[in-house]
Amino acid sequence: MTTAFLTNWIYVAVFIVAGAAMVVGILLMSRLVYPIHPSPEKYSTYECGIEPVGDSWHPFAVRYHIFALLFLVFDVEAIFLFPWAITFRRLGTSGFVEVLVFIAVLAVGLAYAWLKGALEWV
Amino acid sequence: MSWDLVLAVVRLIVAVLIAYAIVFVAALVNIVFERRVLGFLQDRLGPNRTGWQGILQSVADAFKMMGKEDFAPTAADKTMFTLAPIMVMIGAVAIQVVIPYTKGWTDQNLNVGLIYIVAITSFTVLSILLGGWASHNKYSLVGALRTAAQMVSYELPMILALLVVAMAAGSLSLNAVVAAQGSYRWFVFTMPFTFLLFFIASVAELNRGPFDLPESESELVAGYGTEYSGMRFGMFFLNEYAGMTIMSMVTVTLFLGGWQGPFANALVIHGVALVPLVWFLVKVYALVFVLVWIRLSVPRLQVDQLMGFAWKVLIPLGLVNILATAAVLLWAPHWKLAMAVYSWLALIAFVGLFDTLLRWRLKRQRRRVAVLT
Repeated sequence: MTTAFLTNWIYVAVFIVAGAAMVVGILLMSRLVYPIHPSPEKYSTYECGIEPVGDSWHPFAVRYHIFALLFLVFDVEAIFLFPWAITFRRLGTSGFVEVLVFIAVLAVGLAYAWLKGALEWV
Repeated sequence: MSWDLVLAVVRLIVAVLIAYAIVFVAALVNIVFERRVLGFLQDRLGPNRTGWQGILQSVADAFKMMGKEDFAPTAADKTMFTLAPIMVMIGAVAIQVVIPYTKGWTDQNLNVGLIYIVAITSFTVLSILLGGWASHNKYSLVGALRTAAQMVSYELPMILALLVVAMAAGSLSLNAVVAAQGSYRWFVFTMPFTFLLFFIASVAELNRGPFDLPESESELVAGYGTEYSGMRFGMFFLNEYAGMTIMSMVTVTLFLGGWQGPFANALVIHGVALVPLVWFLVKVYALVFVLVWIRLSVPRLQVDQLMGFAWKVLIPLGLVNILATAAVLLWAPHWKLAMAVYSWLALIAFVGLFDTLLRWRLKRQRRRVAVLT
């Protein structure tokens, strides 16, 4: 049991490192091949061919933030629902009712956001 | 004991090499495949000069890209700018730990496979956000935020569909999901509605087809990739095309019965069956063809339509679908048959009513505009 668990996650760790290592390898390989001809125009930020106006790192539209918050709520909900999805036959009616209430609370939240216009992309 | 250890290490290395090979071959094949299929569907030729019928076209393109100067603009955050393409491939490689390629070969049968898939695919969102922000370019930033909003929104219907799969299979491990679809009870037949929700979400996750807003060149130049060049751009491109195959692999495993098919035990070498591998690849490429077909047939959405479709249609339907499936599985007498009947009815209702609802909504909007003017 413990060894199986260990091998499982050794694979995951090695694959994550391998995914990054692959790209590093390719980038280093192409570094040996490509030419370098620097020029100030080439290294300037692209903005339709004119001089960039203002800074790009400025405060950004707040609606992305609202969607991020909503996503967080439903993502955490999913984490709670996965254990139930596996065991819902054993939990039977009581488990079903509990999840019904749980989802209803979140659905009310979604409906509230919908009515308040948070889901409109204007 | 030490012999076992050597074998285990060899197996790990082979597994990593297989994952590399799949990413590369899939990306290179898919680029040519897509261009040829688009050519075929649009009654023109497509690339057919490099190698036999143009099959070496993307190999040539890859070598060309290697020789292109790869630079970062002066204003960019250099560290993050390089880190983003390095991170982008992690998802495509690491997801293959749990994919059952064939009978007798899964790299590791994780007991949390479904959650692992959801978790590991989010590396792509992270790296796109990172790359777009680090470019210090307005187009990149807008493109990256838009991509993140889209991928995050469509991740939810995907998770909700995965929950139904977990309920029907009774396990989160992918081998158990494949086993639950034995004797041709593939989930695409027994729960087509869930498959539709998952498939729409997965097309959006791939930033393809009608959901390719991140690279809508008419609005955003090249989206998050505007400042990238050479091989660092190539990595984003590679990930996108390898993603087609990898997402199809996940879909095939979850809904199309994985490697299952006739003559599964005909050719077995050291416990690894070869015929199922063929079935697996055939199903995967059938799905990749469908992805290309959809991209050709459906025009690109607007941002507001895109977000509205996820939050107002797919997520409520996903929640209802979970509860309805749970109720059917708990209380219906012949639950397997009942689930199929429910799901087919839901699919027919969804497809049938969707157009009518859209028309009704459009009419209402027009009336409102008429009142205003």
